[in-house]
Amino acid sequence: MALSDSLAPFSTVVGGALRLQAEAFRDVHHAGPFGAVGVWIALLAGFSQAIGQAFILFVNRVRPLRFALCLVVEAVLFLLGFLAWALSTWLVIRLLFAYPITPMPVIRALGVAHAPRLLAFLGALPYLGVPWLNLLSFWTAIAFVVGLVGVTGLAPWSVFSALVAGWFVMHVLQRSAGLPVMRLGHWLLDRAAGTPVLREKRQLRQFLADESSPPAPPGRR
Amino acid sequence: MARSRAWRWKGLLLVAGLALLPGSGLLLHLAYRALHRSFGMAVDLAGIALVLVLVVGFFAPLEAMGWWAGWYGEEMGPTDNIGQLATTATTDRIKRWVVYLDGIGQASLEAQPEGEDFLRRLAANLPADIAIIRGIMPYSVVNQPITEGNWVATFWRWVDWLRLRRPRSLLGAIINLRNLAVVAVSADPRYGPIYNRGTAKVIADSLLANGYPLASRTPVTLMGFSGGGQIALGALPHLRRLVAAPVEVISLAGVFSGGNAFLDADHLFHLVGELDPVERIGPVVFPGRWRAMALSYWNRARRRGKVTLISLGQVGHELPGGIFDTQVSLSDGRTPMRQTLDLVSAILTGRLGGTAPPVPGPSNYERFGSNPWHQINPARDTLPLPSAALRPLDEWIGRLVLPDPQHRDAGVGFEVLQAPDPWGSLVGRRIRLDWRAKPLIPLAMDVHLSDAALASWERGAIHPLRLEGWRQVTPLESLAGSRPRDDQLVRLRGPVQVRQDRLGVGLEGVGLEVQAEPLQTTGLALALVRFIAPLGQEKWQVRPYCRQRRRFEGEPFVVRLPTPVALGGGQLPTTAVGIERSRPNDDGWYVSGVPDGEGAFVVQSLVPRSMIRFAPERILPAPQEGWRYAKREAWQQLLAGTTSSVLISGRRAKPAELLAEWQAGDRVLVLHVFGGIGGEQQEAGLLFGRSLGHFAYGFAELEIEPLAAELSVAVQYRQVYAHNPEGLISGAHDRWRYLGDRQWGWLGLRPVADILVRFPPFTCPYRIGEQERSPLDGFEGQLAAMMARYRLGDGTGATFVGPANNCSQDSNQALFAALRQLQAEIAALDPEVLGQWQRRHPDQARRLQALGRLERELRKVLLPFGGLREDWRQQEYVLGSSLEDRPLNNLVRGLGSWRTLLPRLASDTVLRVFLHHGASALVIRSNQVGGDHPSIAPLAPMTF
Repeated sequence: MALSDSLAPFSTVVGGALRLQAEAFRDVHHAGPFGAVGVWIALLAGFSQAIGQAFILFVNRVRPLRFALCLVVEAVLFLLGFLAWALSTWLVIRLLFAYPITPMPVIRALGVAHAPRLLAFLGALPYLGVPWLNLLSFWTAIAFVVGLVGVTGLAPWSVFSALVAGWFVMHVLQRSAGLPVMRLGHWLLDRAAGTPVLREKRQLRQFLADESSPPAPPGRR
Repeated sequence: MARSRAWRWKGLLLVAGLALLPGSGLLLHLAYRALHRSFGMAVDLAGIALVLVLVVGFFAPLEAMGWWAGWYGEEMGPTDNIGQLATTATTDRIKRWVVYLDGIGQASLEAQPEGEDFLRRLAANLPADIAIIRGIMPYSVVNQPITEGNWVATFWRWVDWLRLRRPRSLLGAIINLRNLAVVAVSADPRYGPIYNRGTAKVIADSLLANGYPLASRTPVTLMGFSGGGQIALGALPHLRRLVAAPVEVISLAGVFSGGNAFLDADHLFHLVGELDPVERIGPVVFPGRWRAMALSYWNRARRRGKVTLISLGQVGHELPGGIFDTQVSLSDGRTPMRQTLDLVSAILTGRLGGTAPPVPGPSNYERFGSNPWHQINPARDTLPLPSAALRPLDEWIGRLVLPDPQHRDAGVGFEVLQAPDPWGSLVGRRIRLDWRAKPLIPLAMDVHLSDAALASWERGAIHPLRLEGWRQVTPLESLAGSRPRDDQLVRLRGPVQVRQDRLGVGLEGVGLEVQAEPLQTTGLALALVRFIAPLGQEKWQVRPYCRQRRRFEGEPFVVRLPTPVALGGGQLPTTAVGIERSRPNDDGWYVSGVPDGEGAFVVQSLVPRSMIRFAPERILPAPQEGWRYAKREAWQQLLAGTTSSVLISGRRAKPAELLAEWQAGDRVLVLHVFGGIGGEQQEAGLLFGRSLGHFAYGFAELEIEPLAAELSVAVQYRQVYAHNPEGLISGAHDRWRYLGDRQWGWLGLRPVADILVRFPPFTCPYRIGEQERSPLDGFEGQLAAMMARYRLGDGTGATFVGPANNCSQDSNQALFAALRQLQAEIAALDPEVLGQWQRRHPDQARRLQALGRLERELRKVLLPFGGLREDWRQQEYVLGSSLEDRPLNNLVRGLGSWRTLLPRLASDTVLRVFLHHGASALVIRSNQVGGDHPSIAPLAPMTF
C-alpha cells in the first residue's frame, strides 16, 4: 500500500474535522492503520503548537539539539494534558449526564477536534502569529463541541457544559492530586532544555530586562 | 479620500476574517474552484506567492531569536561596519546625533540610492554641530547586510543587482518581502523585545564608534524611512537606556505599530504625504493605531502631545512621486525632496515652531496683571527707599528673563533690581544667570505642548506656551518661561558667584552662577511695622519697630496698601480695612515691597510677626496632647484674622527644655497645608462644601532676625504645583511670595498651617569621611527635580491633578526617593569605614540609627500596599497627569499610597511618624489674615 493510500483516511478525518463535519468525528475508527487517530492528531497538534510557541525556548536560550528535544517533550506533555482533560470530560458525562459511554469515543472525538491546531506552527509567524493562535483556539473549541455532539448525541449546550466542567475538574486535579505529575512534566522539560524554563509572561519579561545581551558564545545552558 | 481608503482596508480585513472563520472553509473552497476554472495559472501563482510569504514570515524571527539564544556563536557577533558619519563633523561638540534607518528596500549597508542622496543633501543643509550616521542595516539584528556573509548572500546579491538593473522586476520584491517580515518581527510583542534590543545595541555601538560621548546626555534622533520607522520606534526605549539620553524619532512616511513605546520618546514627528498608500497600511493593520483603541500607546502619546503629524501634501511613498523625488514639482515650486529636507532640517535645528497658540481663557493671572502695584517696574522699584527702617530683602534680587530661542545657552537673563556691594552698579542691568547643579542635567527636556495643555490654556490655566517647540529646556529656563511674560521676581540663595568671563544669551558680559534654585519672591525691601492709622487714598501711617527698645517706636512713615484685583470668583485676595485694629497688628507685621515713587512704600506682601518669630503661645510637652492639637484642635480654631503658634513634642519633656532645643542656625522641615475659601463668596470646586486643600513641603532656618533681633523662622516652600489659573509656578517660594503677597498670595484668602518639624536625625547633616551627607539636602534635590518636571509636565507643558499624581503624592514620592537614596548611599559604604566612623562619632551613629527607624516607618505608612506604587519604588518619572490617561491604573496607584492622597492627611501622617520618633514641632496657624474680609470664611481642609 502506498503511503498516500495509508494517509488517505487520516487526511479525510482531518479535513472533515477542519470543516467541522460531525461524521468525521463518528467515523474515526475507519481510519485504517491510524486507529488511534485522535491520539495521533493530538500529538502532532502538540508538536505544531510547540513550534508555534518556540519563542519561549529561544528566550530561555535553549541550545539547538535540546531545542528539538524540548519540542518533542512538549508534544508529549500536550498529549498527556489532552488525555487528562478527555478523561475528566468523560467522567463528567458519565456522572453528571449519566450517559453510558466508554472513554475511547470521547478521547477519539476530542483528539480529532485538535485538527485545527495542526496549523498552530504558523503561530510562529511574526505579528500575525498571536491572532492566528487565538483563531485556532476558537476553531478548536467549536470542533470540540461538534465532535462530542457527534459521538454522544447530547445537546450542544450540554456538551459545552461538560467540556467546561471537565476542564475545571482537570485544573482542580492539576493543582491537587495531579501536582506531582505537573511537577514531573516541568522537570522533564527543564531537563530536556538543560535549564529551568521560564514560562510565565512576567518571568520572561523580567528575564529579558535582566539579561542585557546574548550569552558569550558558545555557552551551554 | 483617506477615510474611504481606510474603510476599504478594514473591509478587506473583515472579509478575510470571515473567510477564515470555521464553517466558511467550504465556501472558500468553492470560491477557489471557481477562480481556478477562470484564471488557472494566475490563481496557482497567487497560491505559491502566499506559501512564499508564509515561509519567509515563518523564518524571519530566526535570526534575532538565534542571536539571542547564542546559536550562532561568534559568527554573528558585532560587525566592524557599524555606520559612518555622513559628513565630517567640524566642531568638537556635537549638539545632536542623527541615525538614519532606511526603508524595506535596503539590502546592503548602503541605503537605497534616493536615501543616500537625501542624506548627502541633508548633511550639506545642517549646521556642523549636528552629526548624521548612515550605513546601518536596520533589518538585521546584528547589522548584517543580507548581501554579505553566508551562502544565501550570493542569491541576495543577484536579486539586488537585478533590482537595480530592472527596478520593476518582481523578483526584487523578495528583498522587500524579507525586510517587511523583519518589520513584523520588530512589531511582534514576543519577538520585538529581543529584535529591538539588538538593533538598539547596533545603533548605540555605532554612535559610540563615531565619537558619541556617553553620559553627556547629548540628544539622539532616529530617522526612519518607511519600515525604518518601526525599527526606530522599536529600538527607542532600549537605546534610551543604553545611551542615557533623550531620544526622538522622525518617521519619514514610516509604517509602524501602535504598540511601540511612544511615551518613551522625547517626541515623534511623523511626516506623510497625502498620496502615500504604503504608510496607510500601518493605521489599518496595527490595531493599536485605531482610534477606537483609546488606551493604546499610540493614542495616549497623541493625547499627551508626544506626536506631531506633518502632512507633505501631494506626495507619495517611494519613487516616483515619493518623499525623496527630485523630479516632480509641488504647488509651491519645491520638489518633494526639497520639502522633506526643509522640514527635517527645521525639526533638527529646532526651527519647526509650534502651531499658533490658541486664545487664552480668562485667568486670574491676566486679571492680576492689571494691578500696576504688583508688576515689576524697575524704574520705580529701584528708587531710594522712603524710610531708614527698611532694609533690603536679600542681597541679590532680580527678574528672570527668558532668552530668545536664537540666543539660548542653558542660562537665562537676570535683570538686577537689588545687588550687594560692590555690585551696586549692576542694578538695572540685564545680566546672565546660570544654575549649576549636577542632578539637574537629566531634567532638560524638549517641550511639545499636548492637546490637553492647549485646551487647559484655553480654559484659563497658565502653561509654558513660550517654550513650545524648544529643545532641551533646562529647569532654569522653565522657571523663566513658565508664564507668558517675564514677570517673575527671584532671590538668589546660597553662594552667588559673579563671573566676568561668560557671555551669551544676548546679555551684558557679567554673569551670576548659583547652586540653589532661585527663590520666587515679592518685594525688594522689608520692614517690621505696626499700622497706626489710615490716611486715605489707600495709604496708612506705620510705626517701625525699634529693636533696641523692643517696641514700635521708630520714625513713622507712610505705606500704600493698594486694593488688589479680585479673583475670577469675585473674592478679593486680601483687604486692608481695619488692619490697624486687627489682632496681629499688636505684634506688628513684616511688610515687603518697593517704593511707590511718591515718597511712600508699597506693601506688596505682608506677614504677621507672630508667624515669623519663634515665640510659641503654648507649649504642649505631653505627646498625646500635642498630637491631638495638631490633628484636631489646630483646625478647629477658625476665627478669621487670627494666628496661633504652638510647640508640641513627640516625647515627654519639660517646656523649657523643649524651647531651648530650638536654636539659631538650625534647619528644620516644614509641612505646609492650606484649606479652602468658604462663606458668602465661597470658592468653586469644593467637594460637598469641603475643601481638599493643598500640601507642600518646605524648609525653615532659625535665625536672629535683624529687624527685631529675636529668634525667628525663615520659611521657604517647595511647591509641587500643577498648572493653574493664577500662574503660580511650581518651584521654590518664600513666604513673601507664596503666602503674604497681597495680590498673588494665600494668606488673606485661606486658612494655613505651617508645621515646623525638628528631628535631628533627619534635619542635621552627617559627616562620614570627607563627605557631608544631609537628608534635608537630598530631599531638597529630589523636590527640585519634581518641581522642574511639574513646570514642564514632562515636556507636555501640562501637569494635572489626579489621584496618583498631585501635590501631596508627588511631594511624598520625592521624600520617599530621598530616603531611599540616603539608604543606598549608606549601604554602599565600606563596612569597615562605617564601623570606624560609628566608634568615633557615637552621637552621629545613634542619629543614623534613628533615621533608619524613621525611614522604615515612613515607608510602612506611606506605602502600605507597596506593590501598587512601583513608580515610587523604581523612582520612575511618570506624571500620570490626566484622568483619561489610564484612569483605573491611576486610581489604583493613588490608593497604593492612600495616606498621601489628601493633603491634610498626608501632613498628619508624616507628622505623626516624626512625633512617634521623638521629634518636636512648631505648629503655626493663620486664618485669612489681613484686614476685615466678611464675605469669606476659612474652611479647614478635609481629612479622614
